[in-house]
Amino acid sequence: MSEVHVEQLVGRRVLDVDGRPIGRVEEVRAERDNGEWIVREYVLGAGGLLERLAAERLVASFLGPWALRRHRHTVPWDALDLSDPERPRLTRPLPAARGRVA
Amino acid sequence: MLDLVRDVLDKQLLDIDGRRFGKVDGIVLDIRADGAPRVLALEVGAATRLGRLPHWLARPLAWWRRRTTTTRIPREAVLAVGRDLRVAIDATTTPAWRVEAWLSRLFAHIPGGR
Amino acid sequence: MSVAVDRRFVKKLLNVSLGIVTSFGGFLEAGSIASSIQAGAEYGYSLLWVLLLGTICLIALIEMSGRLAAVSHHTIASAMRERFGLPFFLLPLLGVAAVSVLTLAAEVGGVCMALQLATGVGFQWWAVPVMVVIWGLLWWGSFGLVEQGVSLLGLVTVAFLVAAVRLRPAVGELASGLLPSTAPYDSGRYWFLAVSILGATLTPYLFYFYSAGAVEDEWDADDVPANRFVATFGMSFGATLAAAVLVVAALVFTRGARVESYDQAAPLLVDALGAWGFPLFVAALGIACFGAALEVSLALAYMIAQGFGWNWGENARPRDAARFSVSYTLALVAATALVVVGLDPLGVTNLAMALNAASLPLAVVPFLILMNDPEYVGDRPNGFLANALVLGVAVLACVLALVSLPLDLVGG
Repeated sequence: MSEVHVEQLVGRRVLDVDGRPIGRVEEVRAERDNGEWIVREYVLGAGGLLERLAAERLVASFLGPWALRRHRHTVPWDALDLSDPERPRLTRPLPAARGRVA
Repeated sequence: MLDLVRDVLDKQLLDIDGRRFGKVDGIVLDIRADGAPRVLALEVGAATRLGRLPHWLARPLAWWRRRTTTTRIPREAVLAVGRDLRVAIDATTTPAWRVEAWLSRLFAHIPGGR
Repeated sequence: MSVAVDRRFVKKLLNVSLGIVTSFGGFLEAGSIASSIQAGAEYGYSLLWVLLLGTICLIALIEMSGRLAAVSHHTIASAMRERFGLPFFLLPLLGVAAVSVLTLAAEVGGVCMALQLATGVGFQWWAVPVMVVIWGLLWWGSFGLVEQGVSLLGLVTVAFLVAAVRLRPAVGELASGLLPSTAPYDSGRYWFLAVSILGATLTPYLFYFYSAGAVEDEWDADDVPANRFVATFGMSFGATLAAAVLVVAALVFTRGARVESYDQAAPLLVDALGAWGFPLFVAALGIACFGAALEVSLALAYMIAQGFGWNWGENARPRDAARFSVSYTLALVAATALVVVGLDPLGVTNLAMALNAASLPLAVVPFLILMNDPEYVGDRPNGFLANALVLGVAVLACVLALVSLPLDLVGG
């Protein structure tokens, strides 16, 4: 059993199977199951400052239809290797339809 | 689904008597060999906060981090997750309350309150 | 039935008094008085447009503070910590806190100068006694006491308005001052004073104080329309008083005269109000700065306690909100130390206002992000106009401050 702190994980750069940076940890989603909170998936974002502060609504009110597009990848819990919490890696490549444009 | 960063981290903690005793400074996950990680506990305390600072700031403050405590709140103690987090703990019994309690005793010497 | 009606009516009345006290103790304080006197003496009515611009922006910011508190039941500081997380919260916190301590020193200095003018005893001697009185009121008083006490006493500042009316300024000239213009001479100094006015009008502690007050007074979504009225009326009233100070200074001092200290400003009201002029100036300066000192101290304690999730509240007993009480105590001690060592109060005021302006984007941008986030403001987010106005003025003030502050330090 080892411990990982969510507040330390947030913002860390995630590498894919080939060692290339793919984004930063933005969110950790858990499900309430039988009284436990089980982590189901991680949300990785592009990691720019505006994104991390999620300021896109403010920006959108100025830029309207030309507002920034957010690129997010949602990975299931077993796709992220946290054995070295400071250097999270994907355990398998992302599916062909890369990420979601939100 | 519970968004741990958006809905739990940095949210206000209320103890069993409704006292504000800090914000959620940290969330501890238990990484298991078999199965998905699960939330073990919440943390509140200066030590946890200092750990969140960027490296260049945290290193000169390492002496402070060694001297302070952090309070762990087991996940089972969480009663409700809403605008605030209610936990089934008496804050006055936790290390998180140490400074407040010490100051309170100090204030007893000054005619406080109304 | 009548008890419920009375409670709502009293609540509405209290809403209004929060607006008024924020305009007296918030708007008209050391910074506004100092910058208005200097602007009026050196440039006549030319800088009135800056006051107008700053006031419009302030009305928007105060209205936003109230709306945020009413809809989300969060104060600005609390919401900022929760939304941005600890590391990103610390940056605006430290910036606003540092500038607010300097502002607090300016307010305490203003009270001490008023006492020096009244008694002849040097302002440094008054620093500690004044600090103790302010602290005592915060320790033993309630939020209602602070609100209403400051509102009532602050009425003495209406003397500025009376004086301005009695001096019969030419309305046409006044009106042209309300239109933006460039410097008639000495650009560096003109824009430095413009920055001082903006910084004095848009002090961040004001909206942090207002949002905490709204939560202390337990506003909810029903109070949003009243909040709009209170913000507009309260800030407009404060701005009118500041404008009155500027107009009187313009008419009383020789054009271009540099007012270097509060001593030199003291005869401001004598022409218009005769023998009452001097005592009224002293009283208005002292009371306005005193009210502001109470508010800045509280605002600092609110920001820190709310950001870290401690028990807070002026209505709470100090023992129940120990770290909150220690916060305003430490802030007061730090600010008073700057007065005790003898730093010139007017100089401190000028510096504080310039730094307020320079740090505006840091204080305002996180706030704007919140005001566009439905999680906090529900179905009442900011419109494009409000965002553009506030952001534009904040950036303008910052740029002007960064450009003109070094110029003025070199030149003056």
